[in-house]
Amino acid sequence: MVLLALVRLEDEAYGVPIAKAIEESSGREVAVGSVYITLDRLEGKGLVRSRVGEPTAVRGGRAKTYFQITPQGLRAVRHAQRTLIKLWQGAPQLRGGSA
Amino acid sequence: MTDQQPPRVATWLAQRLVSGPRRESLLGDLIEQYRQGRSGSWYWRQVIVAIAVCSAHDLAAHKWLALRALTIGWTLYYLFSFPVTWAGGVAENWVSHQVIACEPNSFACQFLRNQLSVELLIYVAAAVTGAIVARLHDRYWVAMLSLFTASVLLFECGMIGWLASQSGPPVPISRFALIAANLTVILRPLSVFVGGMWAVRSGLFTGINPVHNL
Repeated sequence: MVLLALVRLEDEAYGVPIAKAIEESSGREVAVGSVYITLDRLEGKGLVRSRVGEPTAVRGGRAKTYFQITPQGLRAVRHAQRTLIKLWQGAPQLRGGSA
Repeated sequence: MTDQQPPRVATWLAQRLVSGPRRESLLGDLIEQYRQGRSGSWYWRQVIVAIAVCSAHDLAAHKWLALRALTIGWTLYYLFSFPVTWAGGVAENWVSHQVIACEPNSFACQFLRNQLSVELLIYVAAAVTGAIVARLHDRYWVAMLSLFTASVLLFECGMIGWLASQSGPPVPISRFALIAANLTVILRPLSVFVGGMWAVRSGLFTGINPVHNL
């Protein structure tokens, strides 16, 4: 979900819009701390890279950390998509949206 | 968008207890969302979850350090029990000669004469133990100290439960005794955590001020 949010947000991906994108998609409140832990882990795997922006007054003088998906991250997203589609096709109960 | 300040205590806690390199960005995100109309309770929830998640992440990533923190903490807690028992006995003796104007059979009087001085010494020993555990794990002190504090809380709850099960048929307990027992359960682990936090903030034991949380 975090990787997909990064794909959608492109250059504007930092904590607030990432959390909002996930909240809008899932309909659940997102803990921003959990988003950062996930992003740290993804960065450690080379799927994401980060850069620090300028501090702003509206954030109490704190800088944003922008995240961007790497080519390796994009490959991981495509792989996850293919895996999900295969699993979906192998579950006849879920076809037609009746379940 | 407003200039409203987020809850100060929550921000203070987040600045000190959220670990990891993204603490400032995370706090900035929370402040930005708060000024966009999120509630104070939302802000508090986010801070508490951030502290818990970051500590859990540190513990999961450093299991041996966690084991070391528990071993050191409990060894010190046990070793401190000897001087505390001795000094508590001396203090009890002194206090019982000073306090004469109270009903000898009342729980309050017995607590004041026999237990209070020992209890206070236990809080000091717990705080020193927490301080040493925190300073020995500077970089991950929040996670390690939280783990040790949680283990002390569990131990104290277990002790109270065990004592209650050993006392035979239920006897009437005064409200004061009940409050004292519950305070003991809470104040000992609280002393551990406050002692550790104070030691890290003040640079105790090393003469420097290292909040190596980044």
